[in-house]
Amino acid sequence: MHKKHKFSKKVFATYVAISFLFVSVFIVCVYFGFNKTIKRYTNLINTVAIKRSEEAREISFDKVNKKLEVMPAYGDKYGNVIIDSIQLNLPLYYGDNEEILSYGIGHYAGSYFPGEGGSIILAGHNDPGYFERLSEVKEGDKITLDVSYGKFSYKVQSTKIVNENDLDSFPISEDRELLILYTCYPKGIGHKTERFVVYAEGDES
Amino acid sequence: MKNVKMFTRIILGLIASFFLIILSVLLIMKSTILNKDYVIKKISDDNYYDKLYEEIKKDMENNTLSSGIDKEVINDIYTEDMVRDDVGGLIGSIYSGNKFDINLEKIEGNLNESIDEFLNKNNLKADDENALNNFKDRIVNVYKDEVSLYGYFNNIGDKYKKVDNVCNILIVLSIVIISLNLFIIRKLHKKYYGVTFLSAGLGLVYLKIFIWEGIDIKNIIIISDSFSNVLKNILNDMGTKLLTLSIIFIILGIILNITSSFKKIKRIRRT
Repeated sequence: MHKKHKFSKKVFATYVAISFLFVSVFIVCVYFGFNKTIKRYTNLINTVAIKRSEEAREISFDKVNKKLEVMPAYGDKYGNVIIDSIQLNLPLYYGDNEEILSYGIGHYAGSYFPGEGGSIILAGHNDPGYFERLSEVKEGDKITLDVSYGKFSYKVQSTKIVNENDLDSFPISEDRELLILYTCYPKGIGHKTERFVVYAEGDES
Repeated sequence: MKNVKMFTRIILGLIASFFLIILSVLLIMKSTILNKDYVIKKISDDNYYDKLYEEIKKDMENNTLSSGIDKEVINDIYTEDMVRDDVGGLIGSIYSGNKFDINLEKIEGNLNESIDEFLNKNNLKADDENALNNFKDRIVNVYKDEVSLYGYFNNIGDKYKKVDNVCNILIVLSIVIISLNLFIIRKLHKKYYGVTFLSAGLGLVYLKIFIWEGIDIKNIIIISDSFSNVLKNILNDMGTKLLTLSIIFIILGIILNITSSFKKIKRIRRT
């Protein structure tokens, strides 16, 4: 009697099938055990930590509901700030971190957009090429925000000097389109803690 | 009796397979993100220090706007070697558990000299000492915040020791359980070695797809561009190791399954 070995396809197929069974059990355990946790973290990362595309987003404005349907991406240029009385015409960006403020005028992301009927807060450096001449603006002067979805005009109501930490001087109104522009004050050496603020309201004329 | 044996083999195989997957993931973590030498090498290969140096410079320049002080004052107040030493110290503190404080005295001294030189050269005078001191603090804090990733390194340091201890315990546990399965109970289970490795390999492929494809890793940006590049490369490396290990397990599993599939056939020689 001698022994021989023969390859059994049936046995091999059984082993492979059992392997897939094990993987299926593993997938079910991971899916039902960790899916919510993993999805929560991956969604968080995808929402806050994914670089925007190089092309500027196409903004769309719902005129009926007075609301932006598609907002600009943070850091995108979406218009210009024009104040004829001080020969100012500067690019307007969404966001107001130090990098954005080095490019032009920054729009505080916690405020509304032109046309939405709420407070719009814009900041610029007190330097040539920025808001250096903002303190020359007077009551009655016209400010235009020429943005990608339209032109919006405002008339200066008042100006004042406030402390940088005086948040009450930068009210976020939901039912009144109030344009607030501010810059460091006064001009001089060092980091100033005061701000020159301009308040303007929608000008129908 | 035959069914009990079959059922036992399946359970043991399943347990061994799960722990093989866990062990693989833990060993990859221990050899990458939990390994100080690996992280420092990745940082160096990625030119992290150069990029961070430039990011700090740009941020400092942005902070000179509205200050009445020219951006030239920040030239040479810090060097790439200082950045390298401080980053190295912070990373070392994560893995050693010792605190590392960035020494800002030299930068403050250099900045003071530079500002004095600028003011004298341009016949300017600071009319508000507080404003000037605020400016200096802001510039120096840019260095500290960027190098320490806004204090993030300290947060990681607190969590690292806990994560490392848990990993070590799980690794030992996994090795013990897998050894029990594969070597000590091998009479019951020997034919299932192939199943264990093949299913572990397929499980690792699933994990790679489930986690890595869920995040747009190539466009990830956390804290800064320079840090994000290092993080991206480490995550991609871990993904590649996971995939490599899974392919090795799959091939090993198929080979073992093939060898286990040979049945003995007795041929009785007729006399």
